[in-house]
Amino acid sequence: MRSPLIYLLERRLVNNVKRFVRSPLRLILSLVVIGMLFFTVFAGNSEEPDASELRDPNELYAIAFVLYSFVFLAIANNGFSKGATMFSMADVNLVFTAPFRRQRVLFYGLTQQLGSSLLVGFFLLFQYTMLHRTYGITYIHLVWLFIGYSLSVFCGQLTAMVVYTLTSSSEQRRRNVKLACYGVLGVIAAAIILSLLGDRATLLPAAVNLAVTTLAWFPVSGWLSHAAAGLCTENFVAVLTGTLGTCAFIGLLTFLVTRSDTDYYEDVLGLTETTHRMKAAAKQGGMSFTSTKLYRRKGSLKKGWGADVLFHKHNLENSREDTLYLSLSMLIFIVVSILFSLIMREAGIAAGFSFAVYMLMFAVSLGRMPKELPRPYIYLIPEPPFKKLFWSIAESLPKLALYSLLCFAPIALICGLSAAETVLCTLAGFSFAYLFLSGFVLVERVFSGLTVRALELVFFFITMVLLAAPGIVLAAIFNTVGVTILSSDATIFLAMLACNSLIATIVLYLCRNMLAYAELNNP
Amino acid sequence: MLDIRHVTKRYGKLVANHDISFSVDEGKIAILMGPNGAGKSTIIKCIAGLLRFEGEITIGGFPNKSIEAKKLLGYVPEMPALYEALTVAEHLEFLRRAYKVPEDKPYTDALLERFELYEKRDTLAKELSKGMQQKLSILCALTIRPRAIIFDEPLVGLDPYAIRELTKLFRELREAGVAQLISTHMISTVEDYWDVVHIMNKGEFAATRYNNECHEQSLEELFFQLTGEDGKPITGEKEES
Repeated sequence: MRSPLIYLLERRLVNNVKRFVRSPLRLILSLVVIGMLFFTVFAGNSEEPDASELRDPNELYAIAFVLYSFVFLAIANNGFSKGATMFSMADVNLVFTAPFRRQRVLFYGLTQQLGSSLLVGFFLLFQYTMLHRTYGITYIHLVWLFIGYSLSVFCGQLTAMVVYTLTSSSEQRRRNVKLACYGVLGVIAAAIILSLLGDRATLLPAAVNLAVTTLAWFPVSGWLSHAAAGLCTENFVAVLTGTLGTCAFIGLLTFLVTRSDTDYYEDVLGLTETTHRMKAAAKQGGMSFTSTKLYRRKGSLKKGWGADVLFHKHNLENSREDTLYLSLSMLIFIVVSILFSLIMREAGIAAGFSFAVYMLMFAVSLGRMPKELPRPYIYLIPEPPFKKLFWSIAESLPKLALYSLLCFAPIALICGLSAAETVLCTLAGFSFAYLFLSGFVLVERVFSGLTVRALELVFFFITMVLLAAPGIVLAAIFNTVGVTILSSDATIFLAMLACNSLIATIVLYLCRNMLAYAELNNP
Repeated sequence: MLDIRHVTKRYGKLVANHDISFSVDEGKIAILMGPNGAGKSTIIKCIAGLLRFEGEITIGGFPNKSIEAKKLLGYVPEMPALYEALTVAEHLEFLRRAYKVPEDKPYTDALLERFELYEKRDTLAKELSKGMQQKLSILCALTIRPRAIIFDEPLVGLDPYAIRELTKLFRELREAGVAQLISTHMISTVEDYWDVVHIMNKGEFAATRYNNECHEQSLEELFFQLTGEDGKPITGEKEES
């Protein structure tokens, strides 16, 4: 007789597929995604890159190492706080209480987690054109990079669960393990910095070399990026060792959980319940609190009268949630953008600026405004909707100004732009931030009723591209016609600055009534 | 104070509310009752200005979406919707400032005392129990000193002491001339203080009963007669609304 857990996995998979096929929206989404994937491959392969112009593929695997490491360590770090869960509330209530051995339940959890981890790195597949033309990789290499990313996510979650399970019973033990892990990572980071300090002229090649040689020994991210590099260079020993290392790591952690005396059911229960409450509340249009840690700080709500109290309230809430004014992800995007412009310095400001704008799309957020939308107060407050809309997104503007300054000014300086051009580059960057912010509002206004979040994401990217297009086209026209103010670069920045600012303001004005009805924002 | 005229609310082909008309005068308590999915929360959200609808809703003579109407209305949602990073006192301060209500510390403190939240006034909403969150949600509506107030299942999650205080408050608000619309499943808790009860079923008013009239049936008997165990009306009777 078939195992009930296999039956459960199979039925859930089949029913999900049926649900997908029966939903016109999901079908449209899948067609759009498949179409975009084909377009990416077609566009990427339409022109074979000149082998002499290709960049060193080791750069790509060094980037993969950094990306995998960040994902793996960031997720695994949860093991020291809230842990991780691979189970749903239905699993807790129905599977945990059923007469299954704990090991079998764990394998069931691991299997479903592996499936969902595969979906996380889907965005990588759309980078084919850029990666093929820059590094000459094939689609097989990209798929491997994608699998590596998904496995990093999976291993991070498994590590978090193991760390939490093994240390949750003793605060002292948790502190010791945390100290040991942070200590080892600190030593590795110091060793990397010291080894790179020697020759500043060859800093970048040295860092790349380090990432693909010595750091290939680093658990999970090193092994996986090493295996990916091995596939590219047809070094199948590297592929085999990297893959086997990761499999052994997964096996070891699974063994540790099953052999430990602690009851992992209890460890995953808290987080599973929190996750379930949040999902249920979101479905019912209600609210649930996140597991975000809040910091008690001095200060209270002593400013604001009418709609602008939203701005002061958001600042107060932010001060209690974040330790940094700019979020960690924003800082990472800034560093990545600057590093990219360093690598692509010879390609001029266009490459660095374009990449930074691309990253900006992920850095921009409406701040706390989307958190207001499921609550009734923002609609009930007796103030004009446009005023409420403005003050509810106002907290993001100073952050985006600082982000633009820290990101675009260094890129301009790296590319050797003059002081005036650097100022205009920063302002043009900020205009894109303002444009994307208005784009977010537009997406909330028009597409928030969609029940398929992935489809909303597709429309989000399409909207952002459409909004940014006029400024880019205007800049291209000015460049082609030969209109010059200060310099050609300055003219391009000015064109984008003017066009983006105008479009963003128009978009915000047109969305002014989105706070008239909750229905527009809460499906 | 609350005037609802021929309101119909559709979600695509589904008619959640069909041609609903009723009013709640100053100092009156109207109760909305009905089985799950009868359309109570939908009509409440329409009145609160959260949903679009066909028909007309006015609050104090102003269209319900107008700023003037919003100033008059307090709304207690079915599920507490609080800000996790704000304390109890900061919730009340936020709404007082947003509604531009002059500061009145004795009034605020009295509300907090009454619902046993005074000691918790510096506690983050995230750290409150479910019942306390519900109490805070009620205080958020009261702090703006509304002239009309809508409670959507206000008694759910409250302890017996808070239920007693809230029912006392309903009477006090009535004496203060506040129009109240209360949606509830708890028939027994409303027996003492209602002025008019509207029983909803399948998006319509199945019956309307006034407290000053004599009736042979209790509210509970009428409710089950009209809605049936499966939510379908047993009789074809439909009293005038």
